[in-house]
Amino acid sequence: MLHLPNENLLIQKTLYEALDKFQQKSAVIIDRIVTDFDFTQFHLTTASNPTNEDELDESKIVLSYRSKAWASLLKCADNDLNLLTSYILQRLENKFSLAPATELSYDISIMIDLNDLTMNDIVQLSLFKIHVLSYPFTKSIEEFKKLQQQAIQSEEERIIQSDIIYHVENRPNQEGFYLNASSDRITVIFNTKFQDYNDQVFGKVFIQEFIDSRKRNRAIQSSPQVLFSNTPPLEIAKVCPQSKANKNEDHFITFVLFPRHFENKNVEFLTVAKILQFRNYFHYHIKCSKAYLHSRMRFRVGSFLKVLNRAKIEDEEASNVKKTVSGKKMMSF
Amino acid sequence: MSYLNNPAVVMDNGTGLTKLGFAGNDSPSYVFPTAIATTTGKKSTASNNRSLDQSMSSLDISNNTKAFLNSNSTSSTNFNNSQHSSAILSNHLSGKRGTEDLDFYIGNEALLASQSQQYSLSYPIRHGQVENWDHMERFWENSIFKYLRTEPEDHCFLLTEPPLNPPENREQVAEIFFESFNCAGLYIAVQAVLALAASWSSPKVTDRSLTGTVIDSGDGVTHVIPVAEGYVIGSAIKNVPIAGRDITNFIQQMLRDRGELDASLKTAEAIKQEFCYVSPDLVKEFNKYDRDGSKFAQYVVENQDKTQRKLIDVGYERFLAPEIFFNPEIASSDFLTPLPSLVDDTIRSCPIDVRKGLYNNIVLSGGSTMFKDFGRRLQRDVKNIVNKRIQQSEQVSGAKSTGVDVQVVSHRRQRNAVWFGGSLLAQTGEFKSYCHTKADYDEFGPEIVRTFSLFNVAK
Amino acid sequence: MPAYHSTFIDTFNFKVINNIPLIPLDTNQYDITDEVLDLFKANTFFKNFEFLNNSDRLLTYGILYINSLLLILNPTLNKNDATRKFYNYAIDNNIVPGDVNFKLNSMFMIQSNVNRSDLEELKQYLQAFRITLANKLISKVYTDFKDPMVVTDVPNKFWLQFSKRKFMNKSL
Repeated sequence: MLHLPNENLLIQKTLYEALDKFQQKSAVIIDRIVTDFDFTQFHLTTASNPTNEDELDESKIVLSYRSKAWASLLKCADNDLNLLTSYILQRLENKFSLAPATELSYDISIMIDLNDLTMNDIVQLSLFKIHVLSYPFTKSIEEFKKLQQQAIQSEEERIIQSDIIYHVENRPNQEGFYLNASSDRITVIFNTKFQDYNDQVFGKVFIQEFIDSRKRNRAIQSSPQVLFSNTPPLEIAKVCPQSKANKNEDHFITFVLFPRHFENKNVEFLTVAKILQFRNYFHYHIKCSKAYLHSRMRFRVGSFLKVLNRAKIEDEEASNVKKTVSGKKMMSF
Repeated sequence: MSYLNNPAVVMDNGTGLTKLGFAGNDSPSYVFPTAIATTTGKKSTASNNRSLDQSMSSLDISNNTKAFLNSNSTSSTNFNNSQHSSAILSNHLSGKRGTEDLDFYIGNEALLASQSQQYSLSYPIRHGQVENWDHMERFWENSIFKYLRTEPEDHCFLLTEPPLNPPENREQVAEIFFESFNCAGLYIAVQAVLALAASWSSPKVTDRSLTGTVIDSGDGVTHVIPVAEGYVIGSAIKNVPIAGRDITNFIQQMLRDRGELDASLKTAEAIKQEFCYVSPDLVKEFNKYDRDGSKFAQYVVENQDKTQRKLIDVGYERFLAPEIFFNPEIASSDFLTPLPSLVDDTIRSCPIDVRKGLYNNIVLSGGSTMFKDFGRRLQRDVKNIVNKRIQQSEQVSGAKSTGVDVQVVSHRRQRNAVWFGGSLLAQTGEFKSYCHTKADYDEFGPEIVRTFSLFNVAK
Repeated sequence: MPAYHSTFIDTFNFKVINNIPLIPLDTNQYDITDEVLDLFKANTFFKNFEFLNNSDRLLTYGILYINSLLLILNPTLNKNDATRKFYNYAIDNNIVPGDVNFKLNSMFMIQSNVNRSDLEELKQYLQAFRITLANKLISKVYTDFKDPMVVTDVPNKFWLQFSKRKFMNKSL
């Protein structure tokens, strides 16, 4: 149905076209801005020649990335920029290197060499945002594995919960998500807010349906458990002070990830990608429902207009004029 | 707060094509048909469903390169996966009400989907104006989230409208963008005005004025639209029923007359894009070809697997096809007014005090004005008409005229001039202050969008 | 820019019979038959043409005549056969403006009272005109379009394509 692909289609298209032109020996100069959800922006430019700054090297493209989430990601990496960038490069199978200089006002710039760019690379690059944001997830999974070992080793049967809470703030107004690992699960908690009162109402219905449908429908039992509250769940209570002003404003949605959700790299990737897109999906669906309501309303207005047209008082002399169901005039002679 | 400086989204929804992209780019990110394929409501059988998915993905695999270039999406889009949807349908809420409204495709994917019985194709915009708001709303919804990947709450939007769009339509747009999408800010600009703004990128343009005559030629119709200081002179707008499609048809006819091996519309279209230009004089041009064989060109048609090649000779249609703007009678029997005379007529039906400005700044926009030397020929022909008239009036009155300067401006961004003009304006720092915001809308209602302040055109 | 007109404007007091000026055919310089061949391709596309003077009538006759010659050709006809066919056609169908069988008499605005000797003179003139035209056409059509210096034995398709068009939607 309303599927949002994980890939950024525009990055894919831009890189593909660049590659195609390059292979046909008619390289083009690229300078494109591409955005993604949650204040993420990419800039794809043809690289300048390393020896001569004024010349362009048409075989190389610089991909620069910036997002609101970068600051909190750095925090997750103990403010170690190298750690974070090497993680990102490693996620891209170490096929790309950092650009000599990070572009101004961007967070990271990587160099793409068109001479050996494969289709798979393009797909991976179009997943750049997910690769970047997967950092706290990878950390949490490591954490989880450590705790799991500890739990097995320790005699008591008790759940060990990690003290580390990863917090990624990818939108303004403290909107973002929290990650907390324990010895049997990883908890992901979204904090989302609605600018619009109507959206809030829609949001509630949707979340309720989220929680309920999992219970009702056996086919989706393996999906992560979903919980919802207006107050910060206990896991994050100490790091997330509740805003006092408006209690209804905050929405905390909790996903509980069990080992089966990251049993292998493939599943793990899908889990992370889906979770990262949750907020966008959520808001997208609210907007789609509104569009549906709008179309029902238009239909209603149309049918009321028909009724009104039929109710118009006729002139005496035009008595031979009859009206059709839709209110159009029909002459009889 | 530098993260909040998200680029504005510029959307130009035309009758045939939609151009989508971000302000600051020099060309739209997506150009695809303004088409939507909605489900026909027929209960789809699983096998049916799967075959569509297969045909879509097989197209992606077998013809990966083409799919990348031609389809607006890229990877396989099997979101109608039958097992999935049936699983979801079984839960009670969606069981009550179908989810047909969510089952649709837009753009090139719509064209592809409409090949199956299950979807019907429709074009929500007719003659530049939105006809079907339900479809249009869904079209926008999909463009914003799926293709542009933006949260409308985080971006300002610049939309375009045709000249003489009724204010009620604007209000409808505002309702959708503020109520459905909660967009951060909205600006609706008239296409012709944006085309004028796009011409500022031309070195010929010295003062950035919003006065001029816009010649907008797309696939179906050519419009001549006079604009004075940012306002369209609606009463003087003229249309020519000759545009890109007629040129393609003419080329196709020429290919058939000659019995070329391939005379499909696709080939004709490609020849139009690649080889056509405007000549100064037909007879001289014919002679050039007959004296010098190198003027003839060759177009190669390859089949899908690149196993067969057909060579198509290209000749006189190179200059004859675009000639139909200047001599419509060579292709049409019911419309005979050449474009230059129509431009002259348009300008002469405008108030006398703006005419000089209109002659002075004739701006081209749209794909069908892209032919080499189109602007030069138009300028010469309009100039001839004007000079002839000046001469006559000088003879009659005996007074010397100060003369009229005719200038046709063509520039590199002509093809998507409207979009590009929007991109130029929306990347300025002041753009946000020109937008109406969600707060304004909530306070005053939809009628706020009846007026937009014009962009400051200070030099 | 409407269709092109003849430049052989009637200032030399050519003898005019049935509104057709007998413009001398000169093999050594650019004459009316060369002009007909030059303007043929451009004018064929036009449906409206205003006779500014009598030379335009002769031009029209010539253009329509070329069109009927092209209709004789086909992609496999070789040069010798074409030459023979053209010659026969020029001789056999000696119907000129003013003849009862001439289809376009109304367009040429012919008065009916023409004396016989004049008609005979016109026939002779136009026969020569047609033969010259046919010969010149043959030498143009049987060339390679990629290199006009190369003579071929099949007609050039860039000439043949014009057989599908009709100047002013008329034919002889």
